[in-house]
Amino acid sequence: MRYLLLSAVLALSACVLPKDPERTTERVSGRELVVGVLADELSDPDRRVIDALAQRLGARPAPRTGPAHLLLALLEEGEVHLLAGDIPADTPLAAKAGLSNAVGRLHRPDGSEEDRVLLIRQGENRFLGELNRAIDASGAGS
Amino acid sequence: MIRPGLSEAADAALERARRLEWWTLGWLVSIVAVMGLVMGSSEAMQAAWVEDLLSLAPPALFLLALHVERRGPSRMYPFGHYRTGSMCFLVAAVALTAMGAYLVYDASVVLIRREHPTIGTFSLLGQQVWLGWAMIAALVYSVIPPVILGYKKRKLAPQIADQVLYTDAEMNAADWKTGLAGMAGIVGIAMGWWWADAAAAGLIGLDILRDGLRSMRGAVAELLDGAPRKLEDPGKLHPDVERIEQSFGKGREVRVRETGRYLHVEIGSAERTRPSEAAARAALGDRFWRIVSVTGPAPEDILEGRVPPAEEGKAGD
Repeated sequence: MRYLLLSAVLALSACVLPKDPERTTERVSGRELVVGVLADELSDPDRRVIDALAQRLGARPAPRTGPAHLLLALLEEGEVHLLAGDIPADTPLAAKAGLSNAVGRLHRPDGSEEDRVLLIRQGENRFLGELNRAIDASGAGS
Repeated sequence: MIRPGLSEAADAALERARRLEWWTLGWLVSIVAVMGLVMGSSEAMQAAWVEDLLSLAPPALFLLALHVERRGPSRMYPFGHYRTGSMCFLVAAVALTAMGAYLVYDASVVLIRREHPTIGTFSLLGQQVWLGWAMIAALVYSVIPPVILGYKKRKLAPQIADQVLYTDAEMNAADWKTGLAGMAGIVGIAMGWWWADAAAAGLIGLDILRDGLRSMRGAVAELLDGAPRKLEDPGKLHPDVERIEQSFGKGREVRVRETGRYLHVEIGSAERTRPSEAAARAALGDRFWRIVSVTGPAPEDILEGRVPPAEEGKAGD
């Protein structure tokens, strides 16, 4: 009986935890999902993930363009929720943002390959979980 | 066959310790591998991993000292290799101190920069599971073997007067604390408290740093030819010193120093063992001042009953 209770508590906490220190998931759910677009145009894999995430959270995707560093600064402050645009996993922006799971591969002009990722605000672990599940759902994951 | 210079009981204890240290190495290597897999970008996990890596040093050093100190005296090492234990003790103490200092530094940096740890998810049976849960599982695994081994080693160390073993047991106890702090930190991150992780790591780092500095104090004292100290408290003299003074004393001055687990006793004060300037000059001329002490065989009453030199060579090989 005790173990049943313990398992129930653990399972429940697995659903509720982890939380976002800055409540990103709460702020996005049912409202706007602001996406900073770092490329000229969003590629299909990125677009599918964003749509899947928006659907999961009942939010409306709201893309924003602008200089990369401005968008990164806005991400760090929470004004922008997600950065997308054929971002490679070895991006220097990784020092200031959190990386999603891989969304397919990128083929660079010099012939090398790298995972494509999306960036979130550092520490927003619940939001990251939702994003990774959206990646799975969109079928674009590797 | 008993190792030279040990009693049967001490030899048995040493053999047990040797086996325990091989077990420790094996378990630690597996723990380092497991932690390396789930480490991710978590500061807490990285610190725990570095700390587990450093924990490999004392067992390795213990086994090294054991192997080397057996060698008899040679022309290059006329006093034998007893000091290997002292050197290994210092290195182990430095490793423990470095571990504590690193944890404190790392935690401070994270807290000052207000870095929020990002911990993502991994795929398990078609579901995305938070990596933090896997990290906690790895930390549980990393805590259990060191606790068991550390407890056993701590009991053995005084029996063979081994500081390296004792320092190692202390590090294993530290492993347990760091593991627990790491778990508390990840639970804190799950609750949205980004600072919990670094704060826990920092506190534990302070505790380990304190242990490390205490060990260093003991190791340095030994290398400076200090009198034997208590294993748990380098600030106090070991009771064996007084017992030797009383037994060998008999109106003479007795000086004791330790090299690893072994003690060296000299009869006679510094004054009584200094050669005359004439004798020293006869040996080294102008550099006579270099020879500060000349000691000889032990007094008869301490030597009596010992096996004559001719038969000694046969024992212990």
